Amino acid sequence: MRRLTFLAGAFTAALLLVLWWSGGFEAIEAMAKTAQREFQNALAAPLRRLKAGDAGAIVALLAVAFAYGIVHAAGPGHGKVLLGGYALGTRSGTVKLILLSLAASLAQATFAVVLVYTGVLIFGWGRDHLKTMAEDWFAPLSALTIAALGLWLALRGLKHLRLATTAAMPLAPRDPFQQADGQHDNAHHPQDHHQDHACAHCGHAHGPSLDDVAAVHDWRAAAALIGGIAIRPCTGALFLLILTWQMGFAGAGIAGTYAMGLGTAIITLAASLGAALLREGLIAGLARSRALSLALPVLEITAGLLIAIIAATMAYAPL
Amino acid sequence: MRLHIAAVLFALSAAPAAAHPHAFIDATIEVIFDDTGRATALRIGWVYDELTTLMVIEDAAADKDGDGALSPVELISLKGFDMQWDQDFLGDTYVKMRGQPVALTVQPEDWTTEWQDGRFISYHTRRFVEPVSVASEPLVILPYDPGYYAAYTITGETALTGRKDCEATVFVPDIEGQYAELVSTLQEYSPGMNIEEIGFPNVGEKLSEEVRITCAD
Repeated sequence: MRRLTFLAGAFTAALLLVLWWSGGFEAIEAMAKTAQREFQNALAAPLRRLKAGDAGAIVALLAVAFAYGIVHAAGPGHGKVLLGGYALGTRSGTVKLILLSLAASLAQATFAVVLVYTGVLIFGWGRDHLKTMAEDWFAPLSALTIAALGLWLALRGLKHLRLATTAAMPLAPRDPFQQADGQHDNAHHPQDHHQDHACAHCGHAHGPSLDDVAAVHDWRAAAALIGGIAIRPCTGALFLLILTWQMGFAGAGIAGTYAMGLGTAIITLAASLGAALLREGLIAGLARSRALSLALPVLEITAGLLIAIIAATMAYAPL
Repeated sequence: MRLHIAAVLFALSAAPAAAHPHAFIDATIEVIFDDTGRATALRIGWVYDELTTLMVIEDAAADKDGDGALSPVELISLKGFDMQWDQDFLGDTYVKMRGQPVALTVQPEDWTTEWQDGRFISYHTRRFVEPVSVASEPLVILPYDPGYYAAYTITGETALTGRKDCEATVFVPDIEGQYAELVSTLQEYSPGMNIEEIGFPNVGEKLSEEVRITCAD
């Protein structure tokens, strides 16, 4: 079952990769275009009602903004890809992924609010200037941050790979019957004890000092991930913030921006949990085999490079 | 406050292709023929989405009484808001015949601006530089923004004024078909292959809707 999950996941991932690489996402985007159009109309109605003094329209505004966040992120948004890649390349627990997704999306909303109000109140920028700032300055900065994160992940994987290949012996005791066959498992061989050693680097302990180092690195990686996503606000949020400020109910726009962020978080979370499942499926499929100690670093390198490449191309595809 | 929206829209349309459009416009097209049956002009209608409409109004602070609606008096300052074309904006209406571009005059003429149910509706006329004879070879009209800041959808019947023996057919890019094509292409793909070799469809170019006009010979 797990192997099936893994195969299905791997196939999906490969298909998505080729689609992305070839520009096929443009076709999917075109399908999402209709949804975007509906949202633009749906967003305007509560704004007009708010302006006319109907305070109850705030509920409709938040609902539309939340749905907008979901649909917008479901397109080829960068947050989803990056969190997915991160979850694939590091052994992150569910709680950590939930917190990361939430933190990244809410930080993105916060950055949009800060950018718009700094721009509007302090520098007197208009919408065109803010959009230019977001796309010409912060998008490349975001891409750089994220590319650095990807490279760091890939380098870390390389280091792990070297460790794994230079190890004189497989770290875990092996059993000839178990080799290359992940299907019979725990029944014959209680393995939880050895599992940790088979994968000394993937979040489990090697020694306390290394652990500490890894924790610091993870903390830094998480900060880079959140920051990289945050400083690339979606133009929909910028437009909503500017418009509501112009219309005299800035608070409703700020609330709407956070509602959008929560919607986005659902998608990034789903992507990262999916990627984590894929990774765990792989681990299950290769349980206790020597291949595992090679596959995980390779996965780390692949995910890292993927993140770096996507980040590098992101500069040319403003969201 | 000065009105910048047109400039912004047009400046942005020159920017690199955006991942998704920010303005959605329903386009209506009328083809006008002269006495000798040649096409001489296009009458283009644009209906803006409600959010874009609202942004134009708020940029101009035109809703003076703050009732969320635009009265005829409030509309006055916004007449022609989308008709001040600079040299970077080519009008978002393109015409082709036998694969070759057919030239239209550069500036819009006889434009009008209305506001209705939260949307701006504008009309303008573009004349053909040389009147065009239309027969079985279709005259293809494509409303699109090369920068994809605005997405155009052809709506309503295409009116054919001055001739009764012509026909207009709207072609919508077959997104699902293209997607299926894409997937079947992918299935033939193996890692060693160059992606160009398997003839990947150019999806972006196919995204514009078009109306094709044919007439009796």
